[in-house]
Amino acid sequence: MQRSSKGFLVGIVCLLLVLGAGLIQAQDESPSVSAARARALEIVGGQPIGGTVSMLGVLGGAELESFLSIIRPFEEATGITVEYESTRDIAAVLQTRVEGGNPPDIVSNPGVGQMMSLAEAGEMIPLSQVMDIEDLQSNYDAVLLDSISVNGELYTIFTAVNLGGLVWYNPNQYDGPNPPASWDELADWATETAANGTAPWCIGMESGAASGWPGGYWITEFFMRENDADTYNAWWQGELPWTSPEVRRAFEQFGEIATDPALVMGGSTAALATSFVNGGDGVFTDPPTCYLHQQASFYGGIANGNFPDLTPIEDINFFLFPDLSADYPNVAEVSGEVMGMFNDTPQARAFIEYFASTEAQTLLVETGSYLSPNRNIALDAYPSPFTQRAAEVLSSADTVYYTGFGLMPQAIVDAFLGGILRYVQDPSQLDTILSDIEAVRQQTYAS
Amino acid sequence: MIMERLVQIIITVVIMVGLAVGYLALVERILKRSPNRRQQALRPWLWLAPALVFLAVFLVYPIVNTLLISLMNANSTGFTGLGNYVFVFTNPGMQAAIGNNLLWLIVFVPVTVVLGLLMAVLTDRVRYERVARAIMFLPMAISFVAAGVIWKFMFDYRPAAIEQTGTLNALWLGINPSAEPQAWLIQSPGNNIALILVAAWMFVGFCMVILAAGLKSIPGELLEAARVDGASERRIFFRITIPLLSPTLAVVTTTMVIAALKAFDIVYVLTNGNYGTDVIATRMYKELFSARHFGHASAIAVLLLIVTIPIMLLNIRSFRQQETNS
Repeated sequence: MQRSSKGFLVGIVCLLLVLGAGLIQAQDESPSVSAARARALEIVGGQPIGGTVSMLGVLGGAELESFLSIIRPFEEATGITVEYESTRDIAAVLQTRVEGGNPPDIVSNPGVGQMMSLAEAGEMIPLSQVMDIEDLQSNYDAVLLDSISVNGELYTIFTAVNLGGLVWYNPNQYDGPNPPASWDELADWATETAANGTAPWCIGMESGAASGWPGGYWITEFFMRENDADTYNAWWQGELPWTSPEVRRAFEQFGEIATDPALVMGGSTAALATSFVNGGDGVFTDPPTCYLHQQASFYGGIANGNFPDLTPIEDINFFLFPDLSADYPNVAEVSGEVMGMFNDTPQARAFIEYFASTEAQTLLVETGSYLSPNRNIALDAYPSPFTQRAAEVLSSADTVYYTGFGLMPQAIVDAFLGGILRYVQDPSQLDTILSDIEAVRQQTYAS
Repeated sequence: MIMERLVQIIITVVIMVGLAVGYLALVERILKRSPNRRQQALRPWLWLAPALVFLAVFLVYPIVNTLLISLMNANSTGFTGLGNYVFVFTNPGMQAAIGNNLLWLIVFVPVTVVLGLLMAVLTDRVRYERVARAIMFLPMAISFVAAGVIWKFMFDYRPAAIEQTGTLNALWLGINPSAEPQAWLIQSPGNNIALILVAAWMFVGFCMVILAAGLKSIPGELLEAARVDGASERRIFFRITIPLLSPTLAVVTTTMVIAALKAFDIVYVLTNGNYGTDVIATRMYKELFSARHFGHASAIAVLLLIVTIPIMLLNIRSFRQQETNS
């Protein structure tokens, strides 16, 4: 009897386990997905409306996959099909489509400056016609929203942001100050390490038609840690000459590292020729060929792709770029994509309102690749220790800037990035390079 | 999705053909009612009219419009005279690009034509002629952008401390282990030559095929007779083959000159014009899409047009000559 009752119990437990597994199977989606779906349905008024939204963006591969996973609940709930078209050369493609009178409904673009000038030209739909702006303002940082407003009107929302200026290292190899109290402390350690025969830094700036942008981050980091907010804004708004001592100094501070074969692995040629994807590889090889790599928060994903065996925090970690001046402590820069509407259709309206919602932004951070600028996202929604820490850094920073060259007009961005490459190749040309960029600035703001 | 497109395409084709046939039927019906002499005069023009309208809309109008815009300011709101042309010839970036295009002409054209001729003559004499030619013609089937990406991997550079992944550097260090790896696309002026060789790799096969067809049209008896008379192969090549091939050579050369002048894709993909590799076409692209200066971009386009026109005319003339010869 006892025996059979035991067997009975075991049987019950097994049955429960099977049932439980079945239940888990049935609801294998997280509550955040159902919340996002419910929100999407609410936006379209409780009934699926069908139709399509055409969208232009720059994502591809795994990044696109995780982006589409945010959109899927929207598609399921509303019956709207989102057709995502991807291009690497979005500046040219978007411009051509807009001029041809055939813009996509929705555009998600890392070239914020381009979106702002298109908004100014009257090509975009102001968001105040689409959704409750006050709602949006309660969710997003006011300074950030200001920096993407055009004549007081908001035309775009941030989709995904990255925290720039992180210094990545391998905790098993790096023995320098952690985190360094100041740039000088880190620079002293770097000089010492260089004297011992290993270059402290790795840099990779090759990125097709956008080559040079990692150098742009370096220069921005130096610039914003030694200048006040007014000077920083004057820089990206085109009011500060490129020949000014402030800009010149930031270039030189970057050049001291990037053009010195003792400080950067492989010297300037390696910095120019190495793809940003492989830029930090030397930190994680055995033996390492360098110890530090400056790159934005998305680098965690890149490093993991190149070295799948790395354990976050144990084998790869980061600290924030150190302060240069006591007057401007704890500054952070973010960059990312903004999304805006070019055709006013009910489907596009629903889509953009959905994407701005806390529910969709929660899905965004759950992909583990991005940070959300939406302040209502709980820190524990971040699945990756990197994005969680980056979000923490971001929320505790004294000043948050949008990366300046993401906001500049395209002509100046191209001149800036091209100028960085020329400078790293031949530092003696700095005067000519800066006056060339200055000429582009004057021409851009003259017309 | 694909089925929808396919149906769309078929419907469009049917409608277009229907319209054309309908138009011609209408024209003929009207012509039949008019006197015979007028029919003779009108018929060719009425038959040509659709093509002429297309030419006017898609060729003449854009050219005239570009000429106009090239005399206007950045956003085409006012005339600036010849200011944009002054820019084209005085801007240091433009001057460098023009210089690079000259280098393309000097290196690319002889390399493609001479190698193409060499390949055509050599493959003409072997049994596996077709296979050899097909292999050499293959790069032509790849898009320029894809070729650029392939060569980007070939030119890849890693610092000496790391193992090389680029084919060229692996070869370079394999031959000479103590050498430094080379950043082929960054070091000037070698990087321009590297780009030109990629373009040449694509076009040699094309030159070879055209020249091989020309070779076939040289009468065998002529070469036979020369051999019987005791002429050396070298002498035959320079005194008979080359002169008889000259119309074909002219067509190939002018085509290559135009290819060199409009070089864009390979430069755009491999260096984007950085490190002193800009050419006229990449400058035009940058003025148009990055600087948004329609005046500058149009002036550059007009410069390219003017430079290509005489070569085009030459090309057409020698093509006609070749047609009448054969």
